[in-house]
Amino acid sequence: MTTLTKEMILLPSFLATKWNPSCGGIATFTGIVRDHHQGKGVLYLDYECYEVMAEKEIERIIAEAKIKFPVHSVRILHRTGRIEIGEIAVAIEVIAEHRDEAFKACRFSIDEIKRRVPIWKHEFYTDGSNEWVRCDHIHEGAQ
Amino acid sequence: MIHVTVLFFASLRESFGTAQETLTLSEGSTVGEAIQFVLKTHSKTSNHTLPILSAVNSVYASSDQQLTDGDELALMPPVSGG
Repeated sequence: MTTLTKEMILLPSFLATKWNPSCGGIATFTGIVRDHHQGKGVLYLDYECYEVMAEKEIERIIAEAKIKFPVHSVRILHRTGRIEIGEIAVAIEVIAEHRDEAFKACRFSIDEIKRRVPIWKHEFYTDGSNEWVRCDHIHEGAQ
Repeated sequence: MIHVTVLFFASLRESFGTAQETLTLSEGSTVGEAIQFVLKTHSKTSNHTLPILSAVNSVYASSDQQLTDGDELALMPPVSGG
């Protein structure tokens, strides 16, 4: 399964075209690039990625979500490289028999992506400055 | 002696001025010891103060994990994807 892409993510083509007839709920999350961050205007951002590990980590998150919640499928696609305002940074789709597990697995997936997938956001601002966005997550791997 | 490839990402890569280097360490060296070695090596040019995450061969590793010859050690600032 493709989990990373340098190409623009288009929601209609990302969402599954076939589903299991026993499933009545599809939950999706779409993360989009905002035009501001902590009072600064954002021009665009650039995602650096440790690709080999990011792919594995996303696959682990998908596997864990499917063990943790009774869902039919979980799909995740994360953008890398330069992204413009309004473009999709990450897309998640969970298909389940019922809405509750679909929502829960979707929430679990985005939270785990933010906590542990090795991708770093480099923001470029309208005032000409740029910054690596700091997210001080607690992680067991931190020294 | 063992040889370990160290990868640096994002602000760490910029701060250290390199994306990759090879370390020669004594047998039984740990991830934590490798990090201390790297920080010492780059102490004159870098004032990196963020926590450092580490992964060995694409799996998050604790500081007491032992390294073996040929390992790929990734040193990373806290992640900010999603």
